[in-house]
Amino acid sequence: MKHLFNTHILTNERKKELLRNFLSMILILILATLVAEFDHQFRRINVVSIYLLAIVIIARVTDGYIWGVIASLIAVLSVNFLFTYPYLSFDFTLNGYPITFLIMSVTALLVNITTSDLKRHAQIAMNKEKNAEELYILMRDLVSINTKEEVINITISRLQTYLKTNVKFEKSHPEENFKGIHGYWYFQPLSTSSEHYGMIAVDISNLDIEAKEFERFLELAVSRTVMMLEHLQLQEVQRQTLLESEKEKMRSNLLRAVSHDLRTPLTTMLGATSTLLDNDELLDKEAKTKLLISIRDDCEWLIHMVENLLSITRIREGETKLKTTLEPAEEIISAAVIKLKKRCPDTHFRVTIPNELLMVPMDATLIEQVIINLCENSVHHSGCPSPIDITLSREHNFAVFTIRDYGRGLHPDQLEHLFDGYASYSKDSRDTYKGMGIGLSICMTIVKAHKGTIQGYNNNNEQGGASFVFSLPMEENSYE
Amino acid sequence: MNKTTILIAEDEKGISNFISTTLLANNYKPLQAYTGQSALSMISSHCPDLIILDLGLPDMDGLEILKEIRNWTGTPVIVVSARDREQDKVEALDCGADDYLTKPFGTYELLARIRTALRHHLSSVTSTNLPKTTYSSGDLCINFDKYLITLGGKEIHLTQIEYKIVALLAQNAGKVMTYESIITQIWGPYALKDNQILRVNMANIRRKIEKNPGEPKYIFTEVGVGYRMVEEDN
Repeated sequence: MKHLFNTHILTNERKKELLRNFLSMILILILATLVAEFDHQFRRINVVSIYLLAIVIIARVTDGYIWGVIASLIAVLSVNFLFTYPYLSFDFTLNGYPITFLIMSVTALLVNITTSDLKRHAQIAMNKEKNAEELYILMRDLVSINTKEEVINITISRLQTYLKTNVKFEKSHPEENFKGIHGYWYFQPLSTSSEHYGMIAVDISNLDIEAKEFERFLELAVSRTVMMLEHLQLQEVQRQTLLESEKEKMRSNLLRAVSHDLRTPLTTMLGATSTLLDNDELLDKEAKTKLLISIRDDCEWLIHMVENLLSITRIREGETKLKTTLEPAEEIISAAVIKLKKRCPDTHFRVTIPNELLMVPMDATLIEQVIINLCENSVHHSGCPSPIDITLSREHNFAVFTIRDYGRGLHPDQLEHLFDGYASYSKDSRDTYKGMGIGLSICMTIVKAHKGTIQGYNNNNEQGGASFVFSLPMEENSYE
Repeated sequence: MNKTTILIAEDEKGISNFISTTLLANNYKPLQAYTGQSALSMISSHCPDLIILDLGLPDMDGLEILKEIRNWTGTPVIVVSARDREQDKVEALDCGADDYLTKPFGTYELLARIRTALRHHLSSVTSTNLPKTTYSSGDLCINFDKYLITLGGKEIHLTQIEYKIVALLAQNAGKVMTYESIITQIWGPYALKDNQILRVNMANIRRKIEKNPGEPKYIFTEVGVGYRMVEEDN
């Protein structure tokens, strides 16, 4: 009764088991006969009891009812044939024979049923415990996983080791909700309430477990997996929402900062030009020049801002689509310094590059922008516009750019919000000058799009000042 | 003496007017064209000495106009383009533009580029394309006849390829050379268009001729476009 799926197949193991049962039955019967024969020589009263004992033993050591029943039949016949008069021939007409036969048969049957029931229960309990343990292991393995593919893979491999048979996962199966046997395969759909993942197929041609039990176990195991998958789905949705809100936050931050920062220079320019137009005769040459210079400065600042915003659109089109080429990092630094010298003619920029040529995959225009932004930030906000040190170095597979000033350093309040667009709104009034908050948040966006890192900190030596460090990975294939 | 005529092909009136005023103030004779068609007809009728061409004209593709002009005249052309269009610049330079300006630009930059372009054109016309025999800027001197490069009187040893690159840039000092044009002229037309080998050579050159390769004095990088060697001292 063990194999519901494949009773028609006699596997080697099953053949062995049959042979074992058969041999143990025959052996015990022969032993019983010998003992009975020995006993028979003297008193001839224990023959039946000896056979009964033999039947009980047979029922205990063999699997199933059938061996015990066969043994009791053989025992009855043996008693009749060997130990009753006339010896060595069958005689069914003996007085009291039917009662002997009945007693022996019923005893054999009862003993058989009891022992094999006991055995079956013990087996079931054992299997249950094994299954429970297996389910526990499965659950334990799944809890630490955080990708769906991995969850499915682990389930499949655990099922495979536990059931000791071939288990497949089919992503696309013609009938999504089919459950049951098809050929030598047992199919169990794997789907959560919202998504269908595929079909688990178990090779049952070689299965060493009872059908019902197998089905129940598989169902339980799969339900655990489904639970994990649902859990992951939920996590993913949460993450997505978080990401979206983060993006939204960044966008509104940027917009807020931009509109605030644009208004100031535009107001100055509008005021200056109308003053020039309306009061032409009243102004002396010096006053006019002063106004014109302020207009030019504001224009330059606006251009800078627009360039920054352009950089953002370049990235926003899709962070994965960032078009990078291998560029020598030193060339980008020197190109940025040339531009910086025009914008900040009073600052001395000191560039240090390593002897080794560092080729870094990047969007050169964007990285140039980052260097310019960081340097200008130091020039305008450090309180000590000169000198600024720009150092390029290599750390493992990263090209590290350091921009260092010798000014008053960063305010502790600023450190937290350096790169999120808030920096310009610190309580400290010294930073209200055309905040570079946008510049820094753009730097972070650009560096992040390059899979790099950026940070700012105060220098821990007596010269003081702040350092901004960003590093870019040098392996091209890391994000293409 | 006739004033140098400069055609401004630019559709934004504000920019066109500002360039025009600047040129007038600097003793040039400006001409203004607001569309590609009018620019082409004015070029053939007025024969300007230099053309400032905005690549973003409304009626025609700037590169088309450039190719058309280059069919019949070698008049120097300076193209004007927006910052984030490096590819346009490179294509324009490869199509025969002499230089480029990135919007927004200042008057100083504009006038410097115009002077360089005019001087190059003049020297290539008068000397009937004979290459220069020497180049000198700051401490750097190149004697093309002797294949000799000196820095502050000391000889600099370059490999053959490195010398070729420096010589090519020096011959075109002040002008942007695109990566592709340099590669074609040094390694031949069938060389790989991958500019890495050029960048590596350039890094080596800088380490030999520049005091601080991080702050070059002689050869500058135009990000995304190519290299430009500093002009000779007068």
